[in-house]
Amino acid sequence: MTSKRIAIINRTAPHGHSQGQEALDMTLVAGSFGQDVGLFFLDDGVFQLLTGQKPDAVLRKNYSKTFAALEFYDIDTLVVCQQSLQARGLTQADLCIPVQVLAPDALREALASFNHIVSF
Amino acid sequence: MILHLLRASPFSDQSLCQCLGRVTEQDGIVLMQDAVYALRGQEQAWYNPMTSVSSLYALKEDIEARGISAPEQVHVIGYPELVTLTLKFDNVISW
Amino acid sequence: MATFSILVTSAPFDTQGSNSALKFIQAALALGHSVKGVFFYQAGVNNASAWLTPPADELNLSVAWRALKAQGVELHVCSTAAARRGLLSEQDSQEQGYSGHNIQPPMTASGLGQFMEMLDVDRVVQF
Repeated sequence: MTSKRIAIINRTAPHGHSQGQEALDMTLVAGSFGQDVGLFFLDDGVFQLLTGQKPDAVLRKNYSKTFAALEFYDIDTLVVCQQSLQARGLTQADLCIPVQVLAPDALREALASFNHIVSF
Repeated sequence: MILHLLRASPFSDQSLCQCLGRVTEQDGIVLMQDAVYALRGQEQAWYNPMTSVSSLYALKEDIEARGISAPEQVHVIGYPELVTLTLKFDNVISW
Repeated sequence: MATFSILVTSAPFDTQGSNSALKFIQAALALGHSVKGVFFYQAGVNNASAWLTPPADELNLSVAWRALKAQGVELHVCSTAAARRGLLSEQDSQEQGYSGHNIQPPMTASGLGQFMEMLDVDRVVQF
């Protein structure tokens, strides 16, 4: 597998659009291929990680349960934008998995370290 | 050094503001597709932060397609220059 | 000269993304760069339908993508994302008992693993 590092950015909230589900699919495949991958949550993307989602009620798949499996795919770069959390009245305690919460400067620096960046 | 490709009009989408909140001086911004409407944003709060980015580019084809014009401080480029720009920066984000 | 892979996640016709991707790829090739391939994902998988049939005075993306393939650009579509949107290869269509299939050459039905293979380039650009 290539040594190129890929960052996958979530910018969209879950359930209203399919971005989050297909970003997660891509992340899991990247992990299973041994790709060096970082998963980022910015802007409305932070809503992906909220605990207590029950999307069955809107006939959508509850893929948020799968975030807990990311560690088994050796995906340990999980970054959430501090500013985006704060703007939405959220803290790390509202999220379903342990993540690295970074201020905009540090987050940008983390993103810049990847060879390729895709956003959803 | 990240090259940010903006595709949505900032009058109806927050991508430009969200991007501007995260750029550094070394980064570049390319306005393409509906994002070129940002050039009509003189009255908007995001206009000065945007035009103060020294590497601000707008895609010629998208400007012409929409019947707008670009102020002098914006570098107007075509697709060949866009291709070259993606190589000048370390990586590319499409917003 | 540099190498590129292109990720297309935007729907054909509904948005300008496919058109921008085409212009970018054509410009890259004209400059002598190598475009390893295009990977269609999310709503971008709709580009892979062999049955795109726009009115005669509009760009036919099927024809445009085929022309790129003839220039050596590989065209891969994520089969899972495609199946969700009603696009199937011959094999997948037969397995489901459907008649006809709308993923046909020059498009190749692939998995996301194919996209990982395509990361070994200088730049990935998403449209």
